[in-house]
Amino acid sequence: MDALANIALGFSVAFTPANLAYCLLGCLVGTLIGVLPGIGPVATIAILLPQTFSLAPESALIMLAGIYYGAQYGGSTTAILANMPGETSSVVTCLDGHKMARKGEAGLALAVVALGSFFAGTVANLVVALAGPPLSALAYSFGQAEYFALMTLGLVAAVVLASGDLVKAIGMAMIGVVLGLVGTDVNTGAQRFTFGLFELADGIGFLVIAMGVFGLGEIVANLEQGADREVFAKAPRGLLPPWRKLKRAVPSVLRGTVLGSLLGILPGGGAVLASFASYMLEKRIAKGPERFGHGAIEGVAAPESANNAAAQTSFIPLLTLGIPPNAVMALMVGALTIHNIQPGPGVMAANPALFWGMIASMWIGNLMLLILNLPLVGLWVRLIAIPYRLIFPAILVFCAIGVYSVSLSTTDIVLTAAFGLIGYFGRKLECEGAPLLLGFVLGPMMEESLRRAMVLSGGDATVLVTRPISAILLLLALGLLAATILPTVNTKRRGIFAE
Amino acid sequence: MIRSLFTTLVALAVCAGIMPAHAQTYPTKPVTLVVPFPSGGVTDILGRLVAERLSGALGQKVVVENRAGAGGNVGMIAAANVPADGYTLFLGTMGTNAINASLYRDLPIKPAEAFAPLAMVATLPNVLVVNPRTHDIRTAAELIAAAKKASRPLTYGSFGNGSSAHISGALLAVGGGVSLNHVPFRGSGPAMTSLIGGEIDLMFDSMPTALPQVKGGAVRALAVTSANRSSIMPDVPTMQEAGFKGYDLSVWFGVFARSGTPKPILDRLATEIQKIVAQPDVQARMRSLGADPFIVPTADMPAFIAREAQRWAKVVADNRISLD
Repeated sequence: MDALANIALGFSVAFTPANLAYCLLGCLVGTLIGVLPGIGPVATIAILLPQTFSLAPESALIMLAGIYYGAQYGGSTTAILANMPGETSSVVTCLDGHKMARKGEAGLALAVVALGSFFAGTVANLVVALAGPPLSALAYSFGQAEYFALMTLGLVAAVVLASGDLVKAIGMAMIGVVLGLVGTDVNTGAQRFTFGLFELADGIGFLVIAMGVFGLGEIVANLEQGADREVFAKAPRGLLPPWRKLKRAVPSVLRGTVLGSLLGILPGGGAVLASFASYMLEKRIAKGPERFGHGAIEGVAAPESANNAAAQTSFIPLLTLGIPPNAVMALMVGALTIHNIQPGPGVMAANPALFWGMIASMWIGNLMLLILNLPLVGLWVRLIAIPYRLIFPAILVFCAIGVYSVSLSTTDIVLTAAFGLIGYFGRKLECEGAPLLLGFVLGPMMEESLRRAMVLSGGDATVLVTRPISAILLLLALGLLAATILPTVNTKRRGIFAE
Repeated sequence: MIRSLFTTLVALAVCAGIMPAHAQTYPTKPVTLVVPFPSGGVTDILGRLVAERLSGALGQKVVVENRAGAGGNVGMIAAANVPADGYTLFLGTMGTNAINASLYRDLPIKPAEAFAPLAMVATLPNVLVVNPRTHDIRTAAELIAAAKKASRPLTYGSFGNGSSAHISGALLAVGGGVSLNHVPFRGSGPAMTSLIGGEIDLMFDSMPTALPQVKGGAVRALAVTSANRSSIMPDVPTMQEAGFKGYDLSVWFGVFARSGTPKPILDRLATEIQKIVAQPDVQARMRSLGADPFIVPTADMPAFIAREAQRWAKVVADNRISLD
């Protein structure tokens, strides 16, 4: 009954005209910046944060949260239509989403994303409302050893989910890890591969690599085969997807939601891991896994549901513990502090209107996004019918603006161009960008947690296998690796015996 | 000869004509305040507080520009490479203006030479916290006793190499005559999670992030690092009271202009910012963040900063903390 009263309080806060308006505004802005390649929620929230000084704290948070999950929706649109991940979590969506668009199923992909995200958002929202506080304890049961094991599993997954050659995937993941190591080594303070540039002291930005390898690489490759591209653009079929097509995505949405809700709570790479993990799970259990990477609907539905669920549940550590699990949440802490609210274990008791109002608004926001996005699907699909020669300069400009807006650094724009070349040559050599990006994100986290685990254990490596969660995760990684490598080895051996 | 004398006179006359006019009309366009850390953090919030009030006092908008990176170096270098006209100000910290020069050997500028100090804004002590569920310790002395008894060195978390939390821990180890293992994290949040999760034994956290966890009972505050008790946690003793002689660390924040900026402009800015820091509502706002207002006469700032730089250079060298 308590929960019901709380939810009622939340809706009474969220349903005031002003807060509804801020929620809508946040969702609109979020969708827009999500759709625009390069401009992400971190930069947007950072820029808008000072403007929220004068708002009531509830309104400010409702709007900023709207931007965050609105961007998750919008980001998938660009990933599907232009093969450009605006956010780490939409990297996987590119894999099958863009292939679907190329097959003329852009409308179906977009509809699945909107419906799946709404469902996942609703469920995750209930999770936050009903089970937030007990779940937050999960974050504490994850020590350095567990993080290391989780990141290892993620990296193995990065290699396994690549659709092409295994060796090339491993190579790309390794390059990603090395790129991730650029910058100040957190453990010793040593500067690695910075060439004396202070711009590199905090590492290469994710956007720089994502925009370069995926965005610019894609553009160059498209320009090369201009004629083909026009054909693909003229064939947007299936604007209103029939139920028999959508039905295929339902189990994937369910699995993605569960996985996303759980992983979103973890500090660090929660949402990223959620989308990758759910993609991998789908590929493992699907009938005909060879369809993945060539436009499988499950490969869009599951990760998109997972990242939306994770985006919602990542508020749990912030709201219940006062500890921000990612960069956007760190900005939310700033927003709270500006309004004289100490985020922390006490925030729920001290500001129930804020806490529950925000949770209610997140559900309303998800509903708004669904209403906004379903009719927009038609519009977005028509967007790709615009001749490519007109649209690519716009994409380039937005990429540059987006990359520059993160830290006002021209070095970043130059670096993006350089990674564009790498992305282009990678494409020519049939080396996928996804393992590289995942290696880039997970590699440094894996290294840091391993080294911290070693300092904490006094150099005793057995902690990695004696702690149960860590041991299970490492076993999973090992199993996955074996399952992927063995068939290849078997084929080779059969080949040898045949001779 | 006469010609050159004439030129000089003209030049002087022009200067004399321009200089007062400069100070009278300054500012004629918006002023930028470079904040060397991302938005949402304490430095940013302090910067925006000053910028908002300064806009009112100068009659021109003061715009905050966040240039984060490399422990504040990116923003500091950007603010040092501007014309010395008073249109770009810098929110410097103990880290950027007194420690980084000893941490980063490649720093292309000397902060003491590149900047003219205008006013101090606030200080922020660190708080020594432990997890009461893993260590039933109530004072810093008990902590040292526990560290001496432990079979393995206790571990302390920090938000990065060379951060104030790292230096605070190094000072504790030296002062207590024990060895402690440093475990750096990316930011205060993950370190706090690790402490509450029972992984690390202790940490020196920044006041604003420590406050809610102390209030909520997740961690116990043993001492503050400043020489005087903090008005935000008046019940918590200082490290000096706890028996650590000479222990005094407070992260300070001040506003700087490029050196070489015309004196009238410097004076105007210094006066205005000093006035802002003295306003009761500004001070109340700082306290609500966990910071204490810090008023130092502009003339005393260079000596104060030089003393700080010297102290930290020694600590950094003695503990072999490096960032290159």
